[in-house]
Amino acid sequence: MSTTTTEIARFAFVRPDDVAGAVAAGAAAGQGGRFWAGGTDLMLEWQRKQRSIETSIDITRLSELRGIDVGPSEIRIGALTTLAEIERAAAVHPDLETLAAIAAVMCTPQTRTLATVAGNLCNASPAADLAPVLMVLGARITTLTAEGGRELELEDLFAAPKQSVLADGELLTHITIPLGGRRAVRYGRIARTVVDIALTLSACALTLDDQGRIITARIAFGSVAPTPLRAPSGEQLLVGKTLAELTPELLAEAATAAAGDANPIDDIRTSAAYRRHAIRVLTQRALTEAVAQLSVGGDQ
Amino acid sequence: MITVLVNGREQAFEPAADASLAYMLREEAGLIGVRVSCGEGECGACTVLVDEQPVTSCLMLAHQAAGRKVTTIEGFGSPENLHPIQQAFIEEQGFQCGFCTPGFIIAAAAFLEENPSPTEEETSIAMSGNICRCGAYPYIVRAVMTAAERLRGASV
Repeated sequence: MSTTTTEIARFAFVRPDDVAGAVAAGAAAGQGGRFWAGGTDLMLEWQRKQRSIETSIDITRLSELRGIDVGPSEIRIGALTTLAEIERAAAVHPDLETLAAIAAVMCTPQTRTLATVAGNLCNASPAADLAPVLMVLGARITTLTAEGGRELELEDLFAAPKQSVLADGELLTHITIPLGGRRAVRYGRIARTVVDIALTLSACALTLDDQGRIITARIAFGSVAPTPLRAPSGEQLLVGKTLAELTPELLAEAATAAAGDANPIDDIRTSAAYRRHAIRVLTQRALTEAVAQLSVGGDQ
Repeated sequence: MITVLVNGREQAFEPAADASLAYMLREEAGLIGVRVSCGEGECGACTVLVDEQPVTSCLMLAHQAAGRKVTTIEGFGSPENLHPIQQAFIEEQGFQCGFCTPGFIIAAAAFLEENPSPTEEETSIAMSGNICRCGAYPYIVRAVMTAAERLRGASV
């Protein structure tokens, strides 16, 4: 009887002390390098041999990338802020209530302590639940490489399923949400159970200017396209309107137009036809709730 | 070489770079109360506390535990002096086969630390990260509620 010894490919593990060290390690590692934070996706991809990794760069000790800061004109969320921390952030700022509510139904309590907001985004899953909400909040991301930094709109981060536009060695350091105006943020999400990945998710944010007109309207979807998706066809029907003009009929029309921007597929979780229907219904409900919230909060 | 404070005792390990914390605790520390069922962060059987936070140890790299405090079920109570949550699981029959029980007890401990007076619904939601194939869920929720009551009494 012969014994076969299989050489198990393993990666190198490095733990830089600061952000500068992390991007230097990222530059040195090149194509085979991965920044490793919560690792809740990377660990599985590694074990299933779906991803080759030569160097994993542990960034979890970089405390400057952690936490939520509310400034006068923006909220800054550190890349390593965990889903467990996001889940408890509703009290930090009212604009984070919806983000917190969604974090609370993602994966499981003992996985949310590991999983980070940047990991959810950089993994670029079309079903990344935080992405649509952050997109309607107008979030921008800031990244750093050994050569320098850049800022981009969150919606420009996603290239394809499980593929971001970030270069090798480019580290997402924080997410910025601009503040201003009176904003209502709502979402609808359908999943099989509380711990399951969403079948579809729709988020919307409506912001009023001083004259009581909608100055920005954003609608974004999860799990209905190759990437998290903005739905401009629905948004443009709402901008410039007063609350009185946002009738149930107009909201229904906007939801239908928005759903037209979706490009869903059949997969193991559900069908394209179901997703197309559900995204319209969820969007109409979310818009209706957002208008109701702005209508009662007129004195704020 | 890393050192980890495991159940109150500083221990040195030499895990492979890609070894999970669950693997290191089971295979190197011999703590087989850390159960690996799905190995994918779904079932919660491998739940341990890292710096008092509950984590699915199958998804965490062993090296990420360097210098941190890890508590497994072996660090809860002793056969002669069970932890109140362990006692409550026995009294309320919060298990059949017992495979998932360590994960449930640790998840419950972390939950009750944050919410000492939960409702049954809050308890059910908090336990949603753990799967029990025997289906002892109503008994598990009852055990956690009983434990909560005792722990509240003990801290007064």
